[in-house]
Amino acid sequence: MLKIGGLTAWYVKNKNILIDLSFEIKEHSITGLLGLNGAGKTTLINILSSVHKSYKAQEVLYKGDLIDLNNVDWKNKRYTVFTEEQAFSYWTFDEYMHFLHKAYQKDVNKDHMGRLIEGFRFEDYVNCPIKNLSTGNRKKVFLITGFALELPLLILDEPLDGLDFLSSEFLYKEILEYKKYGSLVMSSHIAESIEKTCDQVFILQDGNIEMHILENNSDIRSYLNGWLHEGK
Amino acid sequence: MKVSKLFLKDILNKRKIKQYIFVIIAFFVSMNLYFKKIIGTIFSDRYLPLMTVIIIFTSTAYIIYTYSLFEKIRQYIMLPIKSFRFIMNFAKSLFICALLERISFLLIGIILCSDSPLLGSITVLIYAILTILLNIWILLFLNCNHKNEWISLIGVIILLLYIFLTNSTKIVKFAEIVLCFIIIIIGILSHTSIDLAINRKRKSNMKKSKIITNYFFRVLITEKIYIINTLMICLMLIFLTVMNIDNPVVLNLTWTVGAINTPVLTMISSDPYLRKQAELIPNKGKNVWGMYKNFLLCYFVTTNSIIFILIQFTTGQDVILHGVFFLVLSILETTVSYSLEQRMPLKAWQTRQALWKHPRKYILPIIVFLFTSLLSMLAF
Repeated sequence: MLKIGGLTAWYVKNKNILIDLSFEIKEHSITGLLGLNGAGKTTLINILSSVHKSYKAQEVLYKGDLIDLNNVDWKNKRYTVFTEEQAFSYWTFDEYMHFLHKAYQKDVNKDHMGRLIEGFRFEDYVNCPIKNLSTGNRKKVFLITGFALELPLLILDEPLDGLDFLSSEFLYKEILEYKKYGSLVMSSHIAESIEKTCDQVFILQDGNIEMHILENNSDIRSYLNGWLHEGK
Repeated sequence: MKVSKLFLKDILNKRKIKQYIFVIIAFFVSMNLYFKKIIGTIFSDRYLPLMTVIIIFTSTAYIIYTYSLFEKIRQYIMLPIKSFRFIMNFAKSLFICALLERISFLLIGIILCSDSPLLGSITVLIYAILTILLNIWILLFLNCNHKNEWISLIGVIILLLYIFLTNSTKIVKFAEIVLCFIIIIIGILSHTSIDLAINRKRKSNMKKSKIITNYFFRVLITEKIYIINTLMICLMLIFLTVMNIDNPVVLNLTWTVGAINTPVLTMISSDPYLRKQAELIPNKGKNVWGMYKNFLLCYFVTTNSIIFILIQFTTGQDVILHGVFFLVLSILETTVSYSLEQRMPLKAWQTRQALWKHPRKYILPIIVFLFTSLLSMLAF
């Protein structure tokens, strides 16, 4: 679905965070993003989200067509739930959700929305200002809207941060079901979350990327031991 | 460990200190050479205490409010430091900051213009410290709201007013000031350092509104700092129009003041999360940028309507010229402020106060002042 070749990114010129990365996100797949702190996971997510602009890429293809990651056509196809999100804090979930659906020119799938609200146990907070919500419930605002949009690509940056046990379990279920609507990319520090949900995993280290296909009962630690410790 | 260093590195940096020193020297030279005779009377002993309290109170309140929202303050509070020492070091940092930003200018004025510079300087320093402590106490009180504490707070304010309004002897005045200090210190001692941090998550009464759907309008009517700033601008507009409306410079200045509302004009810059969403969400159809543009247009049309009505009420002249100002400025101000937020976003700031002091805020008022001055000249 999305193929990127020769991606290099930086914050300060001549100090590249990502170096000549090439990877492909397959259609209707779940991709995990692993790496140590500072490996460049969030930078990669920010590039896909049109938030980080200091990068160059040899090619960016969406379903075989060349695209620009800052173009509105691409923006219409993806949504990101960032690790720490405090935007639109003076709105309620309901207001943000309706605004977002208008922005993406999508109709609200009421069944899916209802299931998400129920699954995340969010019924009591739908009309509360986001400002007044706890960290976990604030995270749910953006997770629910992200899943409900049903876009071709949903990106989740550390989606488990701040979630309680029951919501985490529901999140795993929703991630697996997202294949119905499109592809999903998620970064996580929790190996178990990647093992439980992902078809493939990208491991980032020192600005480089390595891809592994995950099969049932795969032990992700074997990849990490073999690869992350190589450089030491 | 020098606790005040924690705060000072957030409020000041080497570049800022150098800039302040340069401005202080420039102020000293210009006062000594040109303005001593023109504005010297301002620094007379009679007005000095009241002037010091007003200047220090307003400027420090701004820093205190914006700094207390700063997430870092919570990390500092966790450090193993006694509450009173922590709060007093916060006061010390505010005093150093006020010394550079405001007090030094007052001291220069006193040294050059007052008949008794030593006594005047001591008066300014004492009232500045008193005001900073009072400001901190008000913040602690607002954050914590101890029962019946407001009685002693109002007591101190009444005592201060009494000092300003009566002509007591120096010894009696000194005793009254010492009494103020004692009450304020006791008030501060009744709090812990955690009360310095404004609780962002405090439950507010705001609810979903079907009338105000624009996010930026919602922020404007909910956040105290935006409401206060906008009201202050309205008051300033009334003051300017009443003051000297026959003077064309003051008239142009009135239109210019309408373009000064830095918090409103940096709403996207001041919220990094919102800025991220503005980039994330498709900018076609309904989007963050479109919503901000609509908000700015409504804001400037309203402000300029107020100015237009005020001018017509006070002078009743030049309806066409001011009608043109109203129309053109509403569009010009919206376009310029929108473009500045989109193309020149302010990213490198630590506190909102630092953001609101960024020189970018002068661009729009300068454009408005030049435009109105030029058009006024052409019209007459």
